[in-house]
Amino acid sequence: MIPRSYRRRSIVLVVAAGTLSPPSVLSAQGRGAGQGPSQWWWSASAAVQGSRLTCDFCDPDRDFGPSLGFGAGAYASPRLRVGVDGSWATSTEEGTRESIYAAGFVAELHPNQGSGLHLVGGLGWAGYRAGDFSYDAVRLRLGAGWDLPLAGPWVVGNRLTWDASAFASLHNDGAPVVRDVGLGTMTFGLYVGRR
Amino acid sequence: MRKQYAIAVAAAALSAGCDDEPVTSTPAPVEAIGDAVAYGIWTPTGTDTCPATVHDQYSTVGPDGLRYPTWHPPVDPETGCRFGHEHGRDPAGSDLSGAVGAIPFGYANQHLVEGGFGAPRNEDHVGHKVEWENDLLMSVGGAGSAVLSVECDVLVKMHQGTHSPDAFTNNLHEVAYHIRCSDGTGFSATLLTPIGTPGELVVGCDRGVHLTAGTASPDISPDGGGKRAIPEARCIRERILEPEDGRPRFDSALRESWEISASLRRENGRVLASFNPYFQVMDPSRFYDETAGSGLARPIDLCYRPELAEADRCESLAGDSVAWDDPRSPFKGVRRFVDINGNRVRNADGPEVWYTDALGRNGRTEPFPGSIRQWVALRDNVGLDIGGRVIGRDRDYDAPGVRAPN
Repeated sequence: MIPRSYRRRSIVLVVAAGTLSPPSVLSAQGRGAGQGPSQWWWSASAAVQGSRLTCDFCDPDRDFGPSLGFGAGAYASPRLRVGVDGSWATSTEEGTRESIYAAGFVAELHPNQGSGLHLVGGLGWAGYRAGDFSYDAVRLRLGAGWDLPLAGPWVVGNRLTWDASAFASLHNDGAPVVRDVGLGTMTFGLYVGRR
Repeated sequence: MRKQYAIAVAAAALSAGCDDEPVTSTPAPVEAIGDAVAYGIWTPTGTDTCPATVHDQYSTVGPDGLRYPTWHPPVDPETGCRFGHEHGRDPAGSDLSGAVGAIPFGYANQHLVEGGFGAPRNEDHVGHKVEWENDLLMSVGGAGSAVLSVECDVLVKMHQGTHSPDAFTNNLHEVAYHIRCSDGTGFSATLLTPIGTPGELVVGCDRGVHLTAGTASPDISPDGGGKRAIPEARCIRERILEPEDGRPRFDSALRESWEISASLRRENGRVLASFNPYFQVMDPSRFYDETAGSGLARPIDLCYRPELAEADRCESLAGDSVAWDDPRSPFKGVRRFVDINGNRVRNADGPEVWYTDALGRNGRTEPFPGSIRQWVALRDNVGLDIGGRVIGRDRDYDAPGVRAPN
């Protein structure tokens, strides 16, 4: 049974984070409570992302590039973190810069309390931009990571996530040009955060 | 080989009774009922060693039953005789050759008047130039192939004479354009397309300058999009005779670019397919000089100047004085390439087969007198803007005996 205080705090925090408050501010707020272990969390990551659009005549090559991300939220239970996250990745091919944006809700579950292993699930938005091309779709995120404790509440870790989107149209200059386009990304990187 | 050309027919213009045939079928032989205006107009001159009878064996029967000239090699493989001109790349190697068949040279010219245009427009034989490329990875939507990967087979034939004053004023030129792409975009268009303004040329080295060169023939030629950028005396002076750094640049000065804005349209004016290739020729055997007769001047004359005798393109002559139509002249328009731009289709509702007049207009679903059968894929590709690739840039069609006029 999740304590009522956790649930209430989670709802409040998800709404608050949705207003794009900086993670550091959230973290500071949490720490400012001065009630032992924080009920808030945040993390920032640097990663490598491989991405590929999928459709009948989409470029079949997977493009790789750097990615930056953040996440912030609260503990719904001692083993479950919920919150919001966002990321940006970019790569260049044939002089065309491709960018992939993502934002949404995330949940991170530690199957075993005390273990660094955690599973990641999320739902949100993915956006793709390349020149005049654009793509926007609902995104599903799955993944896993490993927390390594540092001093105090600080942790570092690594994480592998897979994002998938489908059934949306690719637009060029605002006009739909290809239907039923999917977008898949694989991201592996390191993060630092406070728990 | 010649027999093959003699019986092949352009699928892009098959008769109305064949509408249900797939466009990829190999065209069936058709018996000739007569000769087109374009057939038999070439005769040997100068250093040409082939008789007209050998030349005329390279023919094809059009969907109208008339016999047309078609592509042939510059040297006849059976007799070894030389035609003195070339038509570009052998279309037999194109992946589209089976569907398109032999390209009848002068087919749109033949049907111009019959289709309702008020005057004829016939073009010479040597100006028909073929170019093609298979599996061309296109640039899509201005993003190269980084986002969408579309491959096309392209086979084009343009009448681009670069040896006479014709294109100084005349803007109607025949083009046969065939494209099939992996995204479903495709069309086969044969038409006379107006390029730029009749009676006027655009200065090749300064595209903002339009020169009135005379009266077009026919004088009712319509305005067209695009332009015919042609070298002019000023380009020769600035880039060859009096270059700022003292170094003559023939390629920069002597380059023609015919930039087409062509389309097939329905009767109501709506576009079915459009394309914007740029046909470029290096070393043409002419440039425009308003002080010369008919405005026609010859680049080879530059090589007679002592200061240019062994410079740049004149170097191969080693000081020899040769005539403008000598095979040794470097100015014969054998270096050509085509920019494949802007291939757009708006025909999702079909049908695939349309009949237009020789200008690509008044498209109807049933044939009419003077109409030309066109094929357009059932596809709308608005927004894709497939193009951005060049074909033929590294090719040189010089061959034994080839000379201007070519």
